[in-house]
Amino acid sequence: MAADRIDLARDCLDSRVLDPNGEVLGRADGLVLVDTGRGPPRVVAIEIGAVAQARRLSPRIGRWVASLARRFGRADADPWRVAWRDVRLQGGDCHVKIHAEAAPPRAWERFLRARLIGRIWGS
Amino acid sequence: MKKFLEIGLGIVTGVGGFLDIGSITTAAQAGALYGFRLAWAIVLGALCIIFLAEQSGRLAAISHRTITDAIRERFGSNYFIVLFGVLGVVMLLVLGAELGGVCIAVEFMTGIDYRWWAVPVALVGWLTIWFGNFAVIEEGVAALGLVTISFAVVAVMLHPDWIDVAKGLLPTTPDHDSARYWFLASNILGASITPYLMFFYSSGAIEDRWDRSHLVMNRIIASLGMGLGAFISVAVLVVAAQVLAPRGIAVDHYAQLGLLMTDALGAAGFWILAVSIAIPCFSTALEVALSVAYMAAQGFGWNGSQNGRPKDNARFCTTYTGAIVIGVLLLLAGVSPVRLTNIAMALTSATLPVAVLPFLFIMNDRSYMKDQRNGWLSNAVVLFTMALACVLAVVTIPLEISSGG
Repeated sequence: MAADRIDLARDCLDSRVLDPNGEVLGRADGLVLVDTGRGPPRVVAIEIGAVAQARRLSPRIGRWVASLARRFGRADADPWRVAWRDVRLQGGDCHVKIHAEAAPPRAWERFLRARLIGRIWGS
Repeated sequence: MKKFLEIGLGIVTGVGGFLDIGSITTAAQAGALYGFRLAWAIVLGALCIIFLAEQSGRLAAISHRTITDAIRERFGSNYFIVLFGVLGVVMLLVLGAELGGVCIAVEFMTGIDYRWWAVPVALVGWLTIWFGNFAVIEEGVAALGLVTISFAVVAVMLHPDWIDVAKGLLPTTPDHDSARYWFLASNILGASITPYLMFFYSSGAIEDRWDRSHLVMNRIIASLGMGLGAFISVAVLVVAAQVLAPRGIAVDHYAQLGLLMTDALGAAGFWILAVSIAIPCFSTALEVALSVAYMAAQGFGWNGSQNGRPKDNARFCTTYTGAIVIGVLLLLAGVSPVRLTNIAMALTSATLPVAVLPFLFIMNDRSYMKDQRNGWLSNAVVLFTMALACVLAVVTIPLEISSGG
């Protein structure tokens, strides 16, 4: 049905990913599709994180950012994936049931809070 | 009553947003070198930024998206990274120039070389952002910028030939040094049509939770705020034409600006000038630092609000802190503030299409703007001015560099 059609590039990719409280968890930096061999490819997940974003610039930059992420150990060298069945598209945003605060895309946020910003007076 | 107060504060913020070291310096240089002849460039630039600011507010009110949000969503991650790279460099140069403006003003007041003030000024700026919320920065600091009305008072006191001033509102070709004339024209346009202002304005509208009920207010604030800012910029040009041009001073150093108000106001004029430069530059420096952080946060999908506590927005705070540090390093590296300002304004002009063209697409996109899409006039004014500023910059920057200007 035409009403159920989703233009993935327009309606999902690069959209904000919001948690149940409306907090920004990240952006839909990538989409994961699988070819089952029967019919068109199926979307199975969205990817969030700098590595997914860097891979879209070029695979080489993607590898470079992944190796940096591995070295500093603040984020997974692989982008964080949210299963497509857990994603709800509404109002131009991707809504997920995971809370932003504990989610892997906030690893740098937590690191900077613990080691830098949270230690400054008045923070 | 609350609405009137909001509009009044918005207009004051608009004036503060328009006036900065770029607009003051380029207007003074234009007046000193070409009399009233470049007043048209200020008016054209103001017209364009009035349209752009109004559009930025309208986008936020209708779609509840900032410009960065919409560009990332419509043009994708790769375009956003290019945009952030280009505008990031330009904004850091502007930030360095604005901090330099404050330091020069403090040098006027104390006689101590501006470089010594780079770190203290940056620290005060950082503390203001760290402890202040959005309203303090947007309205409180900007309100102090009303002191710049003193330029208009001095312009009237100097009794210029108003017919000649009016003639300057129409574009004319220069009678000498045409490369410099057109370079200055592009600088003036770059100083007026500052993309950081659009990004800051739309971020502010989201922070203030604008909706459809704010559309009329948005129009009034954009028109009167930027219009009044342009009026004061023309006053700077008039004062420079009356005071500096007869003495053959071309504003190669900020120290030469010191004379601007002393003819009319005596020794007090020197202090008023210093304050009139320091406050708008300080307020703009804060806005630019925040614009860099807003752009990063919105584009990369971080949490980032100036109304939250710093520890709840750690990446956002780290970004504006880093931006301020880079701005200070530019000054400490010994880059001349005047040169930095001219380069920053010329690069702003040259890179305008990178930010403005996708923005125009979004302003004509029904899925974002619904029944509030741009009319033909909005599109035409912005496209024409952007193209003129960009072409002038691309043509004149090499000439300016080769002449060592």
